[in-house]
Amino acid sequence: MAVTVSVVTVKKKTNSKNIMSKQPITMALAGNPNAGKTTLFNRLTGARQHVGNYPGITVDHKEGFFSHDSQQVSITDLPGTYSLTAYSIEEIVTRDFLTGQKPDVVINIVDASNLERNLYLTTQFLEMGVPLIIALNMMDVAKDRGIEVRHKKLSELLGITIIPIIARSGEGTDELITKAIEIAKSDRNWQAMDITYGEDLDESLLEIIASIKNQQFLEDIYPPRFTAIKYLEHDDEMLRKGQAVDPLLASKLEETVTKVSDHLQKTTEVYPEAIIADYRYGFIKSIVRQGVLTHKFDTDRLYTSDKIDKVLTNRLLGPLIMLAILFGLYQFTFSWSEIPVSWMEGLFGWLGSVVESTLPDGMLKSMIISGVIDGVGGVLGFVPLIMFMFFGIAILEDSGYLARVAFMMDRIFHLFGLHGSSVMPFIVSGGIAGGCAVPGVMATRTLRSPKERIATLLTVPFMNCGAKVPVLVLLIGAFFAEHKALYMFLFTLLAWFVALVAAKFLRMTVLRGEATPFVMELPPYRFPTLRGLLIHTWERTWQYIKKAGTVILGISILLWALMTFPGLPQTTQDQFATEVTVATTNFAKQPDLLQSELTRIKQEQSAARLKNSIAGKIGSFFEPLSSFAGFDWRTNIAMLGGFAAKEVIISTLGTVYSMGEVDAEDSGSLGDRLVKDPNWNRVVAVSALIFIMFYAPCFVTVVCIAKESSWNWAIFSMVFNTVFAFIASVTVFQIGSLF
Amino acid sequence: MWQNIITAIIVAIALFFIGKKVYRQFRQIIDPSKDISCGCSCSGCDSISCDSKKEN
Repeated sequence: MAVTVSVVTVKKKTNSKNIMSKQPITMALAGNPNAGKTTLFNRLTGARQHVGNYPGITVDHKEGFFSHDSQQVSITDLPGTYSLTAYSIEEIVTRDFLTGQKPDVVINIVDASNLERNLYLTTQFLEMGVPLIIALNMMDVAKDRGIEVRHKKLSELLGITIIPIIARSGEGTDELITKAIEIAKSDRNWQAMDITYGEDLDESLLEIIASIKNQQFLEDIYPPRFTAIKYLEHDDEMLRKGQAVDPLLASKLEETVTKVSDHLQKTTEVYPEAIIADYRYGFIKSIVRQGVLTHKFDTDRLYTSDKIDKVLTNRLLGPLIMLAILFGLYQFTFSWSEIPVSWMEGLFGWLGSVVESTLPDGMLKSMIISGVIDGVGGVLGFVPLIMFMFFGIAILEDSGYLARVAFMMDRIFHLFGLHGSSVMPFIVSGGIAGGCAVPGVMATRTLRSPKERIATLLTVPFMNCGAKVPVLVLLIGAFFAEHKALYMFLFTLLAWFVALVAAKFLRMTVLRGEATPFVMELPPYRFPTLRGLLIHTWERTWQYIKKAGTVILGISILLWALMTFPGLPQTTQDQFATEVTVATTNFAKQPDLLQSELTRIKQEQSAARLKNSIAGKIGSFFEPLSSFAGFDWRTNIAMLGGFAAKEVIISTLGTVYSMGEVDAEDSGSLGDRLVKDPNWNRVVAVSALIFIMFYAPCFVTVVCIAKESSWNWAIFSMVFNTVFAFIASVTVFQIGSLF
Repeated sequence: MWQNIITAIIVAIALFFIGKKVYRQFRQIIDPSKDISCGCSCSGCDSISCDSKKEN
């Protein structure tokens, strides 16, 4: 079924009908968070958008294309929402898309195992009068819970088509799309449904609707009754739009709402929005009680997920189990990947020796060995480790455990002045290791408080993203080989601690303000499928390989050029040539000594050439300062390269130590070279690890921060993080050097 | 000599490739209508690259 997929901003829709037209039918996928929208989107389009068993994966909308029975379909995956009232960015994105783009049909994904709660959003689609079809998803989960949904009865009562599906396996999706296309092509006149909200509100609604109709107020965007309801719900976005379109009428409507709101406060002590929610749920109950929903088991019975949560999210046991799982993940990753990583090192060593013996000495040979094999090879050498780690993370994610981590961390986050919604951006950024700060920064869009949002997006880059992981693994593997998993675990905890302390500092100074409350839905535990785990693992591993083979390769070549040119001045070259002549003359009858002397001269010449290069001069420029943290000029080059992408630290170290004074042929892996280097030791390694974890985010993250906030905050992020990281590194190095 | 020429070509290609990536990241900020990220090519980053967008 899948033809092509892309993720783009949605194109303008034409007004022509799609019957017998080559114009694709436009569909929108909408529903509650974690109802399975992205799973269905991926299945239909063949896309591999990230799906996680936790809410809030989709913040923006994503568009894909597929064909079904020769019909081209353009489908948009909307963010998960509980309502269409503009309380959060997801609700605004969803509502604006439905009203602005007017898709031919909306597929409302409803979680059959949480029917009543999911139908709350459905009622609002019905009130909007959008062409609707319900995909009753997770029928298997509902069945396991002893819930029986009579979908035909529900369809009859709501007056819309309902197709039971299991998005994960694809069951029912063909029928769903066939029916959705039929609806999109049909001439049915979709009328907004009226739900009664009690005498007081209904009277006000009629009054507001009359004014709206009279002035055609926002009628081109929303049905009058929908606008009226949103006014009663004090929907900020609607009030803003109203003021922009017709300030006079908008003020009049707001007065009417205030009047009814005051009246309700006096008589019932309840706000209109609460009454509206009550009546919507009342409407849903009246539907489901007509034989739509039956529980085969005792409804008080604890579901398996709840039983597991009694232990896994227990106040005392939960955090301990969480730490044990994290440690277990690293233990698994390091122990299982050790042998394949050594194979990869062997492979790149062999490649280097092949090039060494095949190509004559020259620029190209130097670039291939030092820039490509020792540089990019160092990054690719960690592919097996990355793969095992992503496999472990995929298990945690697909099972639903990551959502529990977020739930448990929420309590801690409030202590540090952050919103519970900040937890997921932290995890996405690499809280468990292996994430990426860019989607982490983008995920902060779900935070409503601007100050909490800025505090979160400034601190998520402190997490150990997938690019930092190989650098950490390299240094930990080289200097703390006997306790790799333990050190990785401790450095992960340190990243969280520093991020939270930094957030607290920001919230107490430049971003002062109260923490807002947070409610999080815990999805049920699911047994991950092997196929799903392998797909997730491969997707991320492939991204890692692809980045190493493209961006990191490009940067490594450029850095190699910076480390090669302008070369040594002629006078210095002549001096080395003289030294070679003298050595050849002096040790002509002692071949062993001659060889050793020539190697020494060659190494000194390489080091001098590197130090005289553009990169060498930049590295040396910072050395007087960086030496306080234990970094020599070569490490400085790697740290500067790390601003482009953190993996570049490895590739640059690989190139620097290949081009410099160490003979690449018999020096072994990069880790071995660092251990042998007199400028490196355990204290320098810890100092470097701390600096790498906390200094300026990579270039793409900085651009993303600028886009999501402002350039001022992006620059602040670079300066604040680098200054903090440097102070921390200097402290560690100076104290560590005393012992 | 031939090694120098090939090396110069490779470095020029790398410069063009990385320069294009950097330009595209900045273009997103300059043009606010591009509200979806061009991607960072990282593992765990869901944003699709600008190249993939163009292909489709």
